[in-house]
Amino acid sequence: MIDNAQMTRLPNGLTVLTEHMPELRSVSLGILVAARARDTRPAPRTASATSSNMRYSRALLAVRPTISRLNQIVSGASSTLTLPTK
Amino acid sequence: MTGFAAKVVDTEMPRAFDLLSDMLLNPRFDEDDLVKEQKVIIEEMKMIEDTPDELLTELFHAAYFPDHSLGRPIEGTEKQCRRSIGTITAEFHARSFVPRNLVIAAAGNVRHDELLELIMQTFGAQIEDRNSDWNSSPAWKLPRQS
Repeated sequence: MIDNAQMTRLPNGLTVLTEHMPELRSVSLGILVAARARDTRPAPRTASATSSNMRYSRALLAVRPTISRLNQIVSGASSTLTLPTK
Repeated sequence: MTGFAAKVVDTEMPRAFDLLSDMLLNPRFDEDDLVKEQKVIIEEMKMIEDTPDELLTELFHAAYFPDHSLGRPIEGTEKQCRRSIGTITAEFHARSFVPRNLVIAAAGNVRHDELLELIMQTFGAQIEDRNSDWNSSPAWKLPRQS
């Protein structure tokens, strides 16, 4: 059942979808990008795979966000972080 | 489709959104990181070669869609991957990771207006730079389904 679902399409094309479930104490949040290897030319395919994977590397290696910040969000909040690359 | 997702307690949603949006909008693509990632992707290619059902799927796609992007492997080829891919990756990101290709979705104890406000705060500056027309249209209520 889908209840309390709302969608907003911003003028620049960005789509926002929510389903409000006030009985929960958690939020599942996702950012989906309609950009993947299957609809690219051969050369950008590796770029596509790298682009998605790199965000994970960046999260671990970059100054921002820091590892402690990741820990606060991912572990401290009993949460999960998923970065699918397929 | 590329996805970035997190599940957090409701009080941490703003920080989780900040993290995801930062990863999405501000990747560094450092050369050292790219070299490490090249090795990871090449290993993934080899894993497919060592997994018969996945290899068969790749061969089937190549045979069935010989002149179509669906016939090519998702990871690309080792030859492509061994090239210097920094510029290609940055260009791909700049071209593809644009508002019209994005869907931001949330389910749980979060209000639609609350998420829109976060998007305005966190994404606003970067997206306005790329696309000056930034005004929210009215929210559309999805029909109830059972």
